Amino acid sequence: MALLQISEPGKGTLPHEHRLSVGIDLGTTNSLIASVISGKATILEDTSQTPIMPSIVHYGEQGILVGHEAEKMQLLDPKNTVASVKRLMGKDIKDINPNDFTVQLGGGDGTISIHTQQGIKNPVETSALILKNLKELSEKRLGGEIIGAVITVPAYFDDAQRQATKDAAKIAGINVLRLINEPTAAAVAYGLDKKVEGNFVIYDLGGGTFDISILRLEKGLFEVLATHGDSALGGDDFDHIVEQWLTEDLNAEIPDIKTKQLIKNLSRKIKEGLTEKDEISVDETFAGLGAIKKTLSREKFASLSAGLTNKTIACIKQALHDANLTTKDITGVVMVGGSTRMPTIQLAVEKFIGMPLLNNINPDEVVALGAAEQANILAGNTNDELLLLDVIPLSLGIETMGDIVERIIPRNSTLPVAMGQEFTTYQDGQTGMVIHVVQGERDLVKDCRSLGKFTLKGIPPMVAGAAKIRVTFQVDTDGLLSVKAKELSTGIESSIEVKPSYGLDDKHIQQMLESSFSSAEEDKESRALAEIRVDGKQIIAMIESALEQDKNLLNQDEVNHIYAMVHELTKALAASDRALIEEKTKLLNEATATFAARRMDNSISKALTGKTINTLEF
Amino acid sequence: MWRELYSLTQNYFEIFGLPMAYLIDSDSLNKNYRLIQKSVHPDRFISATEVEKQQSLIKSTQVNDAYQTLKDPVKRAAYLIGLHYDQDETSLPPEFLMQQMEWEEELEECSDEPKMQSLFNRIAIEKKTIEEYLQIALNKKDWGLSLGMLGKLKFLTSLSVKIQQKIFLMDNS
Repeated sequence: MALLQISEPGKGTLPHEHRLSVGIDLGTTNSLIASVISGKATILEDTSQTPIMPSIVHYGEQGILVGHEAEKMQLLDPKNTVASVKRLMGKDIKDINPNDFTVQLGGGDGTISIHTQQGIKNPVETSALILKNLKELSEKRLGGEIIGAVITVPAYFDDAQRQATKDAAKIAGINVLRLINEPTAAAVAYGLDKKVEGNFVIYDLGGGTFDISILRLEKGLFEVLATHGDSALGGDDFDHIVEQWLTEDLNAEIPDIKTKQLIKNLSRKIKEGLTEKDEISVDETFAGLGAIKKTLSREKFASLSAGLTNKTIACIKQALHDANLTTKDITGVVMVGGSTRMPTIQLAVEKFIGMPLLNNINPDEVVALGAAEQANILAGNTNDELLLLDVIPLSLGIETMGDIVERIIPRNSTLPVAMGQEFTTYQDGQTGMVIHVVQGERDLVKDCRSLGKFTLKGIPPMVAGAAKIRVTFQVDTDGLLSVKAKELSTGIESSIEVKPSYGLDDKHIQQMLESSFSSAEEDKESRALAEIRVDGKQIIAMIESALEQDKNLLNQDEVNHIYAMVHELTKALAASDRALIEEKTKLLNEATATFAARRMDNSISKALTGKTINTLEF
Repeated sequence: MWRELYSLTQNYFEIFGLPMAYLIDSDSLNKNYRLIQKSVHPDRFISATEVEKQQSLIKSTQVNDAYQTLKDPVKRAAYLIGLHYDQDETSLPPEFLMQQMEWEEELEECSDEPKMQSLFNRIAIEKKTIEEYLQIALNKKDWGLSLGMLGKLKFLTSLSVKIQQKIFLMDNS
């Protein structure tokens, strides 16, 4: 993992020091990587000079291929070629249609397994291969190690899908600065370019996902008001419509997987052709199937796909309703994703909102470009004060008696957010409680996405209804959830912190991470020691500089205590005992918690009054 | 003195530098919310220590909660009452409960949009009246009376949301 250089919080780094950062659009069909070069967001091209890399992985007998090379294998070896892996991220085998994939899928217990000649793989490690490939490409093009990346996800991704994406980045050795939503990234690309203000609809139809976000853009602030979408609706579904039309008159079953792939490719070509032409004619013969001779007009395609198009319009309506706006309040509509090239989509959106669409930035590239801009800001390379305030796309809740969902955090709450709810026991003497976390808008547990279950133990035995258990949900700025439960009534606190589990636990991820390093044990140890030393030194430097600035927020005892802990860590750093350095670092961190809290409050008062509190009175 | 200046004792009004009253200057609230988020949001602490990241998450979360509470009249009134008064619930008078049932029934029977719109408008007028009473009660610091008015306002607000939702669904079916 790349070592982070740490600068004074709230301040940029040295003026001439540019920290390499990238934005990654990890798409269903294609992925892109971009970086800000000489002040301008730029897509990084690979050696074949193509900016777009197919999100395809081939698990071959000889080795693994990713991108263009893997794409070629789709026809030659479809059974070992994984495309559209994004559709599998954070999903259960029940959630998907295995027939959409040429590779054999299995699974259960909230996971999906991918069966290849190289053995059983999972979606997270497959995605990691794509990310790793992009990372290597960027480091080659930028000529240095990247300190971190902003990775985009569909706004409508649930917690499991987000967590899976972050895990994939971890395995690829990428330091994730932030996960941001694709429509928000697109807005950044447009907003920074044009300094526009007002309410914007971002319509993002990609290969496999559909998102709507309503954003209020103001000077230096992008506030997401509402978001809606369908994480299983995209250009692929429009291909499927063409595929059905192509094969509807055939009497024979499609004989093999290769023919299936050929028809798939042809369907996509027809769909894409209709963007330029009014009609497309087909005259092809497939072995074992016979000849297909048909013509598809733009109008016919529009009517065949009207169901899909209307679904997207209904999502805009819902999002506007949630944002408390009507089409009259909208300043502009930004079109994102290759699928928005379809004339039928453009006409429908234009007609519904009643204004021309913004699509002058290449819809395939706009998300990666925006992500690169944001990465550059987060890395501290610019004085740009832009702040993104995003929302949680789907409500979070827990299961209560009768399979009913008790909602704890409503959708469209601004992040970060924390909310709690108190529960009690059902039986006399009950000492444990299962907490089942779900995400979705429906009232019944079975209609929502299950994020995980955990057991709270150690409740003191009492009569039913006497215990008071407070469950708190915290969702961070990546849209990721952590849950805490606490028993309150007796003053005995039993508290547990969990990350919802969906198949991959931390240990499993650690294993995959380690297996991606081929180095020997010794190397690993010395690398780890080197990393922790750098961390320790940086923490000391930061704390000393913070003390220099804000010592006045502490009393003399508190200052002395922190200095003592700094001294302890400095001593530990001189030796080579990793465990000792870890322990002393932890102690120093703990010693500065109050200090950090007061500095935070101080910065609020500075923000409001332009002044800081300089003197302490006791 | 600094203890009073820091969050342990700061209430939501104080966070935004606003006077503790039901009527607030929403421009100041919006402006100060943005200023504060720009200084405490986790995006500003990407390269900070773990402790500072944690503090930024806590603070940014608190500020969001404070903002959502003060932005919404019902939540704001409930919060203001809670700062002064132990009770948080009161029973509504029987005649209001009767009226509630009548409105609910009327909504059930509404079959077209104009009828629903007319009900919505009547509820809106009722809501405005109750809001004025609530404001007077809060100014007089009569917390018991305020709580009663708040109960009515809560019901009327959720009823208008319900009507709006029904109109929305009707428009889109």
